[in-house]
Amino acid sequence: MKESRVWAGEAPEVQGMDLTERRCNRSWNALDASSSHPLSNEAQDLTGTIETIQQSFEQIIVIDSADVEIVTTDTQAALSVQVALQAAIALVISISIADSDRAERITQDLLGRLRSSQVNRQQTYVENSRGVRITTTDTDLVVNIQLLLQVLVALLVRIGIL
Amino acid sequence: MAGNFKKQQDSLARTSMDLLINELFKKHGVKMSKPKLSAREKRELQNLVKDLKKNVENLTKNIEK
Repeated sequence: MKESRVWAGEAPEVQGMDLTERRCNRSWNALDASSSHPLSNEAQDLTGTIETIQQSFEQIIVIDSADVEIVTTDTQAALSVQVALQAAIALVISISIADSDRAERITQDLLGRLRSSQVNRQQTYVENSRGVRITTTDTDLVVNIQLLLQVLVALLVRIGIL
Repeated sequence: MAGNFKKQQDSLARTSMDLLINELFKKHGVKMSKPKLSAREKRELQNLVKDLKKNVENLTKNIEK
């Protein structure tokens, strides 16, 4: 087993969460009805929640733990690859179809059919643990990206570039 | 066995993608024509696809683990 590393800095601030009560009562107990879950946020209204979804797709909170390994997909990076693929598809269609109006309509139609329905919001909370390995991925988004790549390759094969 | 299944899935994805693209072009009444591109432009497009593939592979690594 690897050597444990203990972080001993200031207590972290977590956006959208009030940790004051938690700090007083320390750990959360699933069997105690009076203790509130660290990620429950009853005070926040729906608008607040939607804003959080737009600002941060993923939240991983690790408290009082050691040897925690986290592997995660950067959703922002995935979104930018998605946009790059969409642009490349639009480019290939526009250079291979002379009528630009039709090319645009086809691009809209094609990308409309392949649109991913939503971006996932993930919250992971690890407390008082050792030797935890977390791997998170926004599967919907990544599958959509794979699909777009396949479409791009199929189009390029048709026009003899690949 | 797992490799066979993956191959089968890949070919299914390719076939359905081809059908989708065919149907879409038929609906809009157009045919794709080979564009007149210089060797440099072709190379640029091929490099773009290569880079995009690499990016997608990096993102999918987590899922396949």
